[in-house]
Amino acid sequence: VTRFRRFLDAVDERTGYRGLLALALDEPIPGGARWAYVFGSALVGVLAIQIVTGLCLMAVYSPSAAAAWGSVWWIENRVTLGWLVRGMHHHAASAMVVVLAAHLLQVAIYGAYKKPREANWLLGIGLLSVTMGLALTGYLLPWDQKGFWATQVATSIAGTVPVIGRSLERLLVGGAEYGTPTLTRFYALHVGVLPASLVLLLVAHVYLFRRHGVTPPASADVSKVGRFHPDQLLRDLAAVFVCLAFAVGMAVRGHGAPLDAPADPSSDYAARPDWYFLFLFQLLKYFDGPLEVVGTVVLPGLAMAWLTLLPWIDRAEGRAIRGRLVPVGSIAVGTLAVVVLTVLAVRDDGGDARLQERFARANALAARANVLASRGIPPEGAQELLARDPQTRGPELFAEHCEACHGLGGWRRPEAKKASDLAGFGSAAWVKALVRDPNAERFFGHTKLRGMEPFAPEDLPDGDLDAVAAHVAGEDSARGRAVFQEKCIGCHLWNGQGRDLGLADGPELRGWASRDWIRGQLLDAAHPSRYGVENEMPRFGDRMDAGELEVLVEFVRTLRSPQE
Amino acid sequence: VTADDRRSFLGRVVLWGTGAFGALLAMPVAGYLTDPLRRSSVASGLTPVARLDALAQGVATRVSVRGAVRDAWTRAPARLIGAAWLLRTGNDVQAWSAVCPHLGCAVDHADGGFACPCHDSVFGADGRRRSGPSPRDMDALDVEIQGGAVLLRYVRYRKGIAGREAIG
Repeated sequence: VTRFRRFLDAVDERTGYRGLLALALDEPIPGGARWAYVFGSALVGVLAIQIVTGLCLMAVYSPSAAAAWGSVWWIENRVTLGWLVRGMHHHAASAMVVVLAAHLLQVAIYGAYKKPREANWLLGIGLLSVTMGLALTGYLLPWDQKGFWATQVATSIAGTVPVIGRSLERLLVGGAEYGTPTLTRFYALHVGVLPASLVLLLVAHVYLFRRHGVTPPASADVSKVGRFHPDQLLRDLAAVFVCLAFAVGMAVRGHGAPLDAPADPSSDYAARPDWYFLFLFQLLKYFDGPLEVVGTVVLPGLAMAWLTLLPWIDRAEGRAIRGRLVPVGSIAVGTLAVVVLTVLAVRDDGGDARLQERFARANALAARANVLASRGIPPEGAQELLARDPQTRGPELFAEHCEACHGLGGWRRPEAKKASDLAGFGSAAWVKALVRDPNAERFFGHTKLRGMEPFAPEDLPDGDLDAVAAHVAGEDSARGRAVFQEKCIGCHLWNGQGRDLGLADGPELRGWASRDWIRGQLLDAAHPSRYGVENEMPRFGDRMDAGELEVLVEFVRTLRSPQE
Repeated sequence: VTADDRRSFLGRVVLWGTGAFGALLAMPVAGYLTDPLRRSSVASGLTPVARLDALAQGVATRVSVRGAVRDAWTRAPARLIGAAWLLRTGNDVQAWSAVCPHLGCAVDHADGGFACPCHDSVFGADGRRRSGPSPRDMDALDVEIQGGAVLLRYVRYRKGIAGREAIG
């Protein structure tokens, strides 16, 4: 111990660190230490958590439209304790907003902004704005549905500002549309511009605070003087631990922070901001049409201006609450408004069954994206995970392109043209039903392909039918081949051979319902080897790109097995 | 208990508390930042790099190698992953990684063999170290010939050490 002390003595001799420490710690606190003073220090503690976890996230995060989601997924699911680091960063951000509000309320209620502390109040308002900016820029970075759509709303609001709106929006977005430049700009703001501003403002804020000292409540006995260290610092430290425990606890509870499905501009995602901006979101609901700008810009702007000018609005002599009805009352009304609007926003959404259904669908997509991502993300980006997933994208493509004519399992759009019902398409059972009754409504009854002769059990016994149906569905057998040669080859092709009777142009059936066959059908159903002149099915090569066509092919392949 | 005693006790609590805060924060950070130590790379399989009949006898030929890559979260089916020198003798092909075993520069062809342009390691036509700082011979790679195609198993080895140790 004495050796350590001697070492410290030597360091102090060369640096004077003890003087600096004494300067920092021995600050007198008139009226004594108080729990009410902990919020400022707690914010510094949370800021430390944010800087440390934020730098960690930076070491893995990749700000590009193709890579951002994947890198966040990697942090959340693969990097050692990545979920904890990201979860702490996410939830400490919430803690920061809460503690910041508490700090602001404490200062306002104590009247601590009054002369000579007006400048420090302004710095505080600056810190509030920067923190809100950090929150806003932060949740775009994962490039997931929530961040993408919620930030769209924010930048669109910026676009409605009179006169400068157009340019403002473009500058924020980094171009005409959302993309990598949006991410890189938000990233630069989030990890560079805003934290640097925050630290500079904070240094000035603390300097001015030390210059003026604490502002005890009017009722305090200022003849009693406490010290910052250890009386106040111990309380401050306790508050910091509460924040840390909250961040860690929430991160453990949710195993990290939420990550929605990758951003998809073509989806119908229902955008909601993070909870601390919900009151602004709710406010917007009460202003429509030309009045909208009142909800988006005017009211929040006026509230911010009022808050900023509070030291000059509050002309009361003392700091006692009784003489300060207007400033304290306005703060109370403002706080109440924020709380009520937030509660209303949550309640509106909770009572909206359709919306809850959309949230549930979004969560299911997020879960599916998570499964797909664990097999690796294509270089084109995480958006392709779901876009190339037959299970996810297939039904959408089918609805978009096929349901105008085809049915599925007895269900059909009321206005649909009546082409075949594709439930079971590709299975032997489908073939069997068709052979018995090809002109039924579920097959070709309402198409120009109508006219294939039905095969009754007298012409084609069940055993033969089973064999030939299995043969067409891809299960080769001598009997199936023989029956096909006897009964089908007269009208159909098999590997380019057949139609011997010349009575009809039945389609090629070798490889029927295989990937190649379905692709061929989608690209050119009027090909002579398919439905020829009687074809009514459009060419789909012109209606979707090759990648999507493959997704649709894969989806049609799944129809052969019974669907739930 | 005097006021000074109380002050010194609370001061110690503050000191330890601050230390605990730092330690609690440092623990996940340490795990997080050392993650690469616990991660391994996926060995690449045999990839075609040339046609046998396109390789001239006895002349070293440089080929680039494409392979499937797992780059953290990205899975790329075919990316350029490195280069190799091929030498055909009869119907046999020998291959060496173009990565210099010294410090990883790209080894070039030179009179009667290979040389690294960075620190002047010189290797013979058989890949053996002749002079310069390289601690070992050039790294030979597995080659198979299937149906006239030259297939290569590309491996990266640790640099700067005498032994040959694959980076896994």
